[in-house]
Amino acid sequence: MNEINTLDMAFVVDTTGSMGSFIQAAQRQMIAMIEALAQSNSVELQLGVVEYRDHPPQDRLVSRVYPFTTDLRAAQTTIARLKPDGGGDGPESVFDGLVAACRELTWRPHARRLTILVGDAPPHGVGGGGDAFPKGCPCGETIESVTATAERARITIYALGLTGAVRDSFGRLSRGTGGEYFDVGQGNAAIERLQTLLKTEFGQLTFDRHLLELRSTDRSLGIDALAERLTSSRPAVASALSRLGARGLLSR
Amino acid sequence: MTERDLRLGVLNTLLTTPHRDLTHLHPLHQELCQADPLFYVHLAAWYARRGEVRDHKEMFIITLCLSACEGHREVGLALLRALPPYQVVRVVDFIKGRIIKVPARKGEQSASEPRREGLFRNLPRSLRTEVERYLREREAEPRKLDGAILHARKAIKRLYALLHIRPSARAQAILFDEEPPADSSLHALRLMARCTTPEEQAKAIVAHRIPYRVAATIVKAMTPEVVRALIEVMSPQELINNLGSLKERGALDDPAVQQAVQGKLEAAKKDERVAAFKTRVAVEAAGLSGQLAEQLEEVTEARIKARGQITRPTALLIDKSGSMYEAIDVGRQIGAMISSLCRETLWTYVFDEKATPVQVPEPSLAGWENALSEVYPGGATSCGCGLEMLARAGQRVEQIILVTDENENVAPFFQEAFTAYEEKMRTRPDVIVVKVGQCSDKLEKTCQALGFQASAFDFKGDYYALTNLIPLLTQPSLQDLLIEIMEQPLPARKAVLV
Repeated sequence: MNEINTLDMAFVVDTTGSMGSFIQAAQRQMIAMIEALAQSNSVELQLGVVEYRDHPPQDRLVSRVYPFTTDLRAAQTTIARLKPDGGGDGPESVFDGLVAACRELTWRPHARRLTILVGDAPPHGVGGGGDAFPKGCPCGETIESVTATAERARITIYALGLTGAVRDSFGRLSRGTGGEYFDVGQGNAAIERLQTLLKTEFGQLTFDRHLLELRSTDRSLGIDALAERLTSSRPAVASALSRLGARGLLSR
Repeated sequence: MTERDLRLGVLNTLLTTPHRDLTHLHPLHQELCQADPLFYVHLAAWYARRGEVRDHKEMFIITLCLSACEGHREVGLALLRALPPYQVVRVVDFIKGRIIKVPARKGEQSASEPRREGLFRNLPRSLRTEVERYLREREAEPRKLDGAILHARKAIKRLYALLHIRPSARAQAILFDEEPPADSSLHALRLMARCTTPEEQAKAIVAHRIPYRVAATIVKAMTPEVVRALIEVMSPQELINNLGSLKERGALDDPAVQQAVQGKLEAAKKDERVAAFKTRVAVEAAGLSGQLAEQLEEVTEARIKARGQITRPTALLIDKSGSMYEAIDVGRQIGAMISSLCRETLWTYVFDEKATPVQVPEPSLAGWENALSEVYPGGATSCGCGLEMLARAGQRVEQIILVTDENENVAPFFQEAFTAYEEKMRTRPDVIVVKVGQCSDKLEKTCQALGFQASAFDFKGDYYALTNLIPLLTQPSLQDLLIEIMEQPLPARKAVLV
């Protein structure tokens, strides 16, 4: 019940040299997202950052995780300090960054979990030009395996592509988890989308709390009984159960 | 491509395209009309009778009226004549084109940019003539004209003005001079506004059949007596559409009103004009519960049942993986819709990486809501595991409905599982993909690679359009549906000016 209004969001950011010309725009977009989401007082937000570059010999930094924090200023500082460097060939260790976000960050058990992928180059092995690992990323991950990992961890990936080269791969990565892809010029649309998502997820907190209370006191209450006690409609209760159940809030 | 394949493609596109926006539908209909003009005109006549989506009905008429193919215009004009006035205006407006200005909302500093909608073309002379006949037909019967004006004053006035059609003396007096004749319903409406007691107003509502929308603005008080009078003159669909507003006014608390509502809803079950899913939307929009919600649900079920029977063994596979926040809701609706039509068992599974059978004790929405109440989105996506379970259980089906975003990421994948199912069960089921959420087109491509075409229904939150799935499922085969459409007689234009 305590986590009913929690949102965990991780930025997974490409910090290779090719990002040099984009990094400031990307940082601005990420900070704008944080500011937009932080406006919602009812949501307890925590932020994490993962930066990724590439596998050796292209680069020595494959990925680096900055743990979740509820201090939004600290998170903004982390983002502002990201420095582009190295990278080697065209494609980068995108899969490693995403998998690190899924596995190494400490997600709160019942939080709504989002990842914002920001980059200008596709992952290895998806047909990107100048790929030192054309047969696949050395980590062994694929688009399918990464989306499966994210789905299992209940994480939705949204992607912000800084060049057209990532439209296909980032699009598949995001859609495969129920998220969306946005071109760099659509930064505002991405923010609007996230705000809509927040509204859907956290827009009926009083109703959701009441529903959870009723369910926790008597698990045998069916949809009809819940609808009657909440003076609501059956479809509204059924949808709320799906939404809360997806975050494990209804687990026995 | 054979003629049959082409027609199946046309039908598939029509039945699987949701509505909402005429501008987006127009190119699609043009394409369908050009691809097979003969089939298209029969499809228009069939859809006018069997279809439920208003926008498609209008777009058929627009396309036929502008078509150069022989006989198309005649059919389009005949269909136009059967539309209510507000839809006739929509057809005319779309062809002539409109610039729509949306005023600034509360809190917004400026209005959004004006939007151009429509074709900005000259109206064909024959269409203008048909609209004139449409209006003259109503003018010929004063009661019919009064009724039409009461329900759609703005639309009718617009038709006269926009097409420069001279109104009859009665229409002129009512619409333009604001001096309705003493024997007209509009005059009665004025008198009703002056009535001092709710009893008098209730009598006037019934005597002159004043519609709810109009009466609600002038009645002194929504007493139970007035509400009962309003319900008496409402069509069942009107009542369903206005339940939310009646509830807000507290009108549904009175036992006598409740009885009147129940009577009307009983009538709705048999009324062909009642759109099945509008009742369901009304329940949600008005937050209705209890007996009234149940009765509305019965109306939905009765209207769905009236649309046919599914005689082919069918499977429903609902994706509940982590990305599928919406799919379970859609699955509930589709399950409730088609299980009441199924003569044979509907095999249902929810799946993520593994498939789980779903037992639904009663084929109603409540039954489906309860059956899926503990199913939550989560896990990776295997679009083949449901098929594997069907094969393992020896469940032979002729059609499979998959509610999914098609983003499969773990084995068994659809292609291998479908091939294995086909080999084991010695049948090739039709595949209908209801696309939900952020979808790909992977399954359609897979079916193409396997040598057949899947029907793909792009669900965009539009529950009304789900009934479009019914014709796909109720025919013994798609070929039979094609035959039914081609046998649909074409309507003839009323030749004589009334």
